[in-house]
Amino acid sequence: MTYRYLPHTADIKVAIEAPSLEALFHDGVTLTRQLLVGASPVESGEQHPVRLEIPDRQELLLAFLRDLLYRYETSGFLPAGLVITRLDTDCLEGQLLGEPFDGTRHAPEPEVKAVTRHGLVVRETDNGWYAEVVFDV
Amino acid sequence: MPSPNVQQIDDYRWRVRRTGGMRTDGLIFADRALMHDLEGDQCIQQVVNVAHLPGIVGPSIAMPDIHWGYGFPIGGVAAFDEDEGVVSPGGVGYDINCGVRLLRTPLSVEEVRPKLARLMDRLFQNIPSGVGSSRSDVRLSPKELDRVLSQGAQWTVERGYGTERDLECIEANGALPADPDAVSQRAKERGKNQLGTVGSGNHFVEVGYVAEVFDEVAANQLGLHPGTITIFIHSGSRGLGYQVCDDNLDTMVQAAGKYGIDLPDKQLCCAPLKSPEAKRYIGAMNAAANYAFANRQLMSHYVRTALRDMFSEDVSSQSDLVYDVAHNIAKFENHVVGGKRRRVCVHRKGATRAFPPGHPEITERYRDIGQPVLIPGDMGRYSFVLVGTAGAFAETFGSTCHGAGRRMSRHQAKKVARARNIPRELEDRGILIRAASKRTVDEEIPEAYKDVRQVVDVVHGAGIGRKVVKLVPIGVVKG
Repeated sequence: MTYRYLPHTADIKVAIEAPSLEALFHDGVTLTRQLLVGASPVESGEQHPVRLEIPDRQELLLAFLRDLLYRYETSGFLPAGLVITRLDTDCLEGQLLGEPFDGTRHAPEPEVKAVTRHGLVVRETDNGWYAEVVFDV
Repeated sequence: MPSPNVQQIDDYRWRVRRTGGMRTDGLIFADRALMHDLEGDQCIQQVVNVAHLPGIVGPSIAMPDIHWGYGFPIGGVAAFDEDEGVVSPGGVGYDINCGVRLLRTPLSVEEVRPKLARLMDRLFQNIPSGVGSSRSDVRLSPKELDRVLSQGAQWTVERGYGTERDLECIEANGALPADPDAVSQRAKERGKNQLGTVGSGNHFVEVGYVAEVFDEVAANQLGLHPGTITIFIHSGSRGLGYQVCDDNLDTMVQAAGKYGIDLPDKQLCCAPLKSPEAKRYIGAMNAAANYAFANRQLMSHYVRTALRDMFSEDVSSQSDLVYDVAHNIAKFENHVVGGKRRRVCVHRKGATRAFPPGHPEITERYRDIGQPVLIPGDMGRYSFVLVGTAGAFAETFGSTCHGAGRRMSRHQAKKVARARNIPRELEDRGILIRAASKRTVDEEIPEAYKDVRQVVDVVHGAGIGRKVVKLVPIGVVKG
């Protein structure tokens, strides 16, 4: 996983570089977990299906990251990994692995309100895929 | 200077000259030092971007606490003609009706100091804070949640969590005309257990006292005497509001294409005010705003409960609401533009309504002095109470600043704070911190923010707000 924080005064802006589109979504899981509970270890004890159909790769990544935030806020689900069964131009299908938040083992980071479209970039490069995402905090 | 298109007008105003696709100029309120701080930040470009939107009336305005947001800058104000203009969820923000309220108690700082640690523990216990915080004692059925979304703070008061007097002292009396059916199930799911919680990030409950009075007449009318203990509550519509924004951004991206609106940034997506998409967003936005009014009202109840437990029933019942203002909202208002009275949709994103003395929307008890404006600073220095002015009404659609504004990124703040014990440092200065997460405290270190005095001095100097009192914190609950 290669990601780095880019300068932003108020929110969190991150650049991700991944060797493939699949890896980009895997990195999305790692990044989100990092934003939610930092370096706290998260187990893969639970498995939840994920299916998103959106006709645009940029919007697909956005919807996926939003979905992770929604699960955390409504049921405390922390993502540990993702098993992808289908990923093409307009669809992501698979299983999310993770566990519920446990205050004795997980140290919460400040709240992430949303994943924004501001300056959102998802593009294929010579080395794989590159994305830039701003999280509203 | 940030760009050759930015020209200084006077000590407090800068004009961003209309170029390219801009439909109007930009107008930034700042002194030279604050302008210098903006170098390298994208917020001036965001002022320019907002000036591209159809139906904008008057300039694209930025307050002195401006900083980089998404779409609109934080600290941005823009008004749109009701017939030709647009509404943009990015001009309101994710935390719809994020806002501040201030309670004043009959207690003095000398009376509170000896019991401060216990009071802070009680507040921390009574008001859940932190990420995804929820209440086990306020669980809303779908029907009840819809009532909150329709009635706002009125719902809370009807259930005994406050008084009719409280409602008088809330912007729009704590309820905007809303459409709960326009709020998605996902948003309702996020909001159902979060009413009465402060959340995380820059949200807080702060105990302070009146340390300096600038305008004795107004201060007396607000009951803010030297040494008076006050309590600030800063929070908004929680997960429900974030989801309403997300849902409508999706719709507005489509709508902008459908109505042929050319956007310099996708996050500025919008729809004509007369369109069904806009009507639905405004109905949902107002519902989320009502949730936020009810949220802050409920938290006031728990503050009063803590005061009752720590002091007496009298102290609790005499702890009046000074005022409650929204600083992330879009509202239809009547303003005079170019000598003509017009109905416009004013977007305030990180900006506060600041109506002048005599305005009919202000409660009679404050009509002589103008609408109270609450400007929190960082947790280590001070905050201010101002009142609205005729200058603000004439020049900024009755708006002024909303806070200090960040000057350091969260990442940088954490780095600066890493090897330090921030709660201990603040305690040494007489400020007790109770926090759900050390990380939040680190990100919110005082030096991460501009000096709010600089910001307030600009709006006071420019005549778009008038200083009344300065408050100094002695205890802060953070998420």
